[in-house]
Amino acid sequence: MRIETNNPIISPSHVYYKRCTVNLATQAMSFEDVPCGNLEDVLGGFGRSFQLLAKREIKEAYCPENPLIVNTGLLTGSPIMTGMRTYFSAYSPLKHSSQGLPAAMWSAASGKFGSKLKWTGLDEILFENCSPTPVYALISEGESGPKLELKPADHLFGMTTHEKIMTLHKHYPDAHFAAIGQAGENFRNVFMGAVALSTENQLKTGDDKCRFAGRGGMGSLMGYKNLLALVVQCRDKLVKPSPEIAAINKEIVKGGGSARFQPISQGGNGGTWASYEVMQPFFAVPENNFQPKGNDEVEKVFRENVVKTFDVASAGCYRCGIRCHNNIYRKQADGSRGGFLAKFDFEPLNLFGTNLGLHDAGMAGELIQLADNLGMDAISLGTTIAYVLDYNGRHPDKPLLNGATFGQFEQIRDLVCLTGAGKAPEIGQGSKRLSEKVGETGYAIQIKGLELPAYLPETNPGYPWAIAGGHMSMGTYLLLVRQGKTDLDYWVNAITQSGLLIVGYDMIGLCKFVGVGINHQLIVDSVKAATGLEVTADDLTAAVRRAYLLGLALERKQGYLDAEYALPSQVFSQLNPNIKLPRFVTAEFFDELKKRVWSVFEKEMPTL
Amino acid sequence: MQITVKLYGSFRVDRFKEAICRYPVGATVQFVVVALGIPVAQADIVIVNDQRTSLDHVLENGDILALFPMVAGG
Repeated sequence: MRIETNNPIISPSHVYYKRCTVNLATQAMSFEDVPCGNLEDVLGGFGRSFQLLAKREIKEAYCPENPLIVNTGLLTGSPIMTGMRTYFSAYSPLKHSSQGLPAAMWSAASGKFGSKLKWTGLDEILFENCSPTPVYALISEGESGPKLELKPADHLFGMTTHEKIMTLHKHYPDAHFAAIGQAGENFRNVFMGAVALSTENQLKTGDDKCRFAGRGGMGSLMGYKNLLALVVQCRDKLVKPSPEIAAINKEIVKGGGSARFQPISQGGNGGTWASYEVMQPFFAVPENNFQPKGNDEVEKVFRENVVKTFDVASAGCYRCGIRCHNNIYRKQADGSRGGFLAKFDFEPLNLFGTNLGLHDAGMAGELIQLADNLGMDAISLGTTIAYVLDYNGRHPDKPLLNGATFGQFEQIRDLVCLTGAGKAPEIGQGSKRLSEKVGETGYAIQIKGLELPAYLPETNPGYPWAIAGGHMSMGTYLLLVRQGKTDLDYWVNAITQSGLLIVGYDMIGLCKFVGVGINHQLIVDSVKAATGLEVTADDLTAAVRRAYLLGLALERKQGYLDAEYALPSQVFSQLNPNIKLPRFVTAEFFDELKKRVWSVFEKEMPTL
Repeated sequence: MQITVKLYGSFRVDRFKEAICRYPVGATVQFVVVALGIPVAQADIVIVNDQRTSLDHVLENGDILALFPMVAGG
């Protein structure tokens, strides 16, 4: 970015981002320095991409006019810790309104790809149209600025995400990569294709330890565009942090915000995996398609039990002192570390384990890696498979696909393979379409065409206002467990004031695991220290709010009706007596909540 | 006074799952948290006798106190 002001509120047009527009059909491309129109443009990520998407009239995701926007945030590639985020935005093949129109979506991931992209001098790539043959994009640093070339990728076709990355790594040893798997290539039958981003650890060890931009099928759109991978080749441009930035980074690592994600050995709570142990006493861990059984089987995948069989190592992303994730390795006969199995986070572990009736870390790990390698979103895939298993249990005489039901590992593994291969469109096209086709929508755990993450819908009436995934775009998902509040005023405020601000992290380039609000002084100080730009907490709040409201307005533009802002109907019709949390989300409560929330948002939403 | 303390998640590491502990009359939840060596900021969910409460809650003899660490998704 070129920054010629310190006041992006008064003079956003004095901040320029470098965009490359690529016509995949003709291979024509152009580079331009685009002046920012507002603080959302300056911050970047979906705050910028959604403004562009709002100008397009897109009736179906798989059309040449639907662009794939790959961009970064203001602090991506900066010395501020966690500044590694890359964003993929487009109209989604998966998320869609009842009118059949695709919704605008974004998905984000860490890994070193984003930093490398930023260091080439490029802030955004706009992929238009489709390539007639498989290609990958090579982005590099030329003498006079960033360069982009399209290269034949026939040799990559049919490979897993990891295989594509490692194959490209042989040719570009100093580069980082974003790649789709077979699922994205089979985009006609798989709408939940993910984009895998390479990590330093992956390239050094050869273990398949990618990061994923999974939500909304951005990998499937890449497949439609015949764009199999992105390569960013650029020397590292790490700058030594100034004393001010060093102090900020120390606060990010040692401060209270990230503590919950740090390893237990460092005084933290052990990453998102620890959610299991906090939610289980309330029987709030999703089990058998979001129906907790009220027993202790879930405890088999508690960390204390998994370490008896597997070697668990806490790890962080490139340059990050927050060791947020847990790599699981098999143990050799002598107890030493064996081969890599999977990265355990709460979402995939639950959605490929407990929620499928599998209380076995090894089985869940195998499914996680399989889905990652094929390149599918863990949340959408896991939740849609749970729907199939549930359906088959209810209809043993007329089952779907291979008739798998809860706990049947081999059959479930076959479903994952079939889906990635494009041979199970019932699953690959998501639970909304499937449940409508078979006429049983009540227990399809999705809202607005996007599957819910591993938090029970009856515990989070804020889900319907998430604009790009239930937990990462509306920060209300653990509130009931944590705070136990059930009054209407509390939830209206949680949704319309604090909860929506979580999306600010999908603009600025930092990871949500910094753990403080986007309007925290730490973020204000980070922007100033890394860029010289002076913004206030109120400026950040206002920009993030505008970006969020544009997202809501875009949903309306794509045909979403009031009735689609709803929870799965089993929340009201099939009360689960096992859940030991207040049962407050009644139909009456939710109706009143909707009125109150919309009365706040509708006054502020832009007209498109 | 005697308090039954139940710990969850990482709070159990090098401590216990459940124990009957003795504290001075008038002790608050925060007093117990500090006595157990738990960083105060990490005690996110506090439940006394099945009721959610806060760190400044004054405990009474025979209370059952449950402490949970802060968690988040991702």
